[in-house]
Amino acid sequence: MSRTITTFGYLFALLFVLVSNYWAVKNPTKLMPLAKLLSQVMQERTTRLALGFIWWWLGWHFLYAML
Amino acid sequence: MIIFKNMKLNLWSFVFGLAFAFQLFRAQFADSIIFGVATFILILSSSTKLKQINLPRFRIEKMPLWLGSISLGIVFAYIPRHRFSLAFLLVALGLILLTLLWNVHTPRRKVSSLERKSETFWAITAIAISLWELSALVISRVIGDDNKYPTISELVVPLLNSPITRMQFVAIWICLGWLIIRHWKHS
Repeated sequence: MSRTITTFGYLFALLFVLVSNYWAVKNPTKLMPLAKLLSQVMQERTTRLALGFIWWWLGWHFLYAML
Repeated sequence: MIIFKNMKLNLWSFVFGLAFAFQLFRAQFADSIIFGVATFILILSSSTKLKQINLPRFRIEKMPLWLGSISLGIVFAYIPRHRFSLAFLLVALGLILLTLLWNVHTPRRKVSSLERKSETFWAITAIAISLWELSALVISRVIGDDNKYPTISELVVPLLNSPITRMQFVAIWICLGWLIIRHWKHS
């Protein structure tokens, strides 16, 4: 039961992100969609590097790292 | 030494510093080194002196970009997990990405209230998801049963043993990577 609830939490989070992003695309004056926000914040080098590290680490963690 | 006098801490350095401490606490030494190095680079990147050291800007054409990603995807999906050759490829990719993302510093334009509001919304969403996973990790360690409260890794990693799902994962991962580079390129 607890495994189902925990897994459901992750699926709900994914659905929430997708729905929120869809809503933001339809209402761009109320909330910026993720892609648009990325294009703004990526103008800062530190943010670019931080997001790049997160992306790289995901690859490292899931493809190579021993868990 | 003048570089260090001009450094200022930013929120990303703090977040990565926390991740470093957390990985150290979990005794995940490889991840501790990765986050430690990342924190150091992020702190360096905010140095006002280093902002003046700009690397030449790369221009990537679409066709080699797509061919490169497809080849990379096939290679990453083909090599079994935990192989040294995979680690070597990932480190090489990381160094290329670091060089690309370092690039010319562009001062940010004035942040609008919509942008500030959107940043807050997406940041709170990311923090909420992280806290959900952190709770699962802490509870599973306390009760000593990873199956009852799995982290995202514990759910995803078993699927990656199959080459087909690994290929799907690599495809999504590379697409996300392009999203990061594409928006920086056009900004």
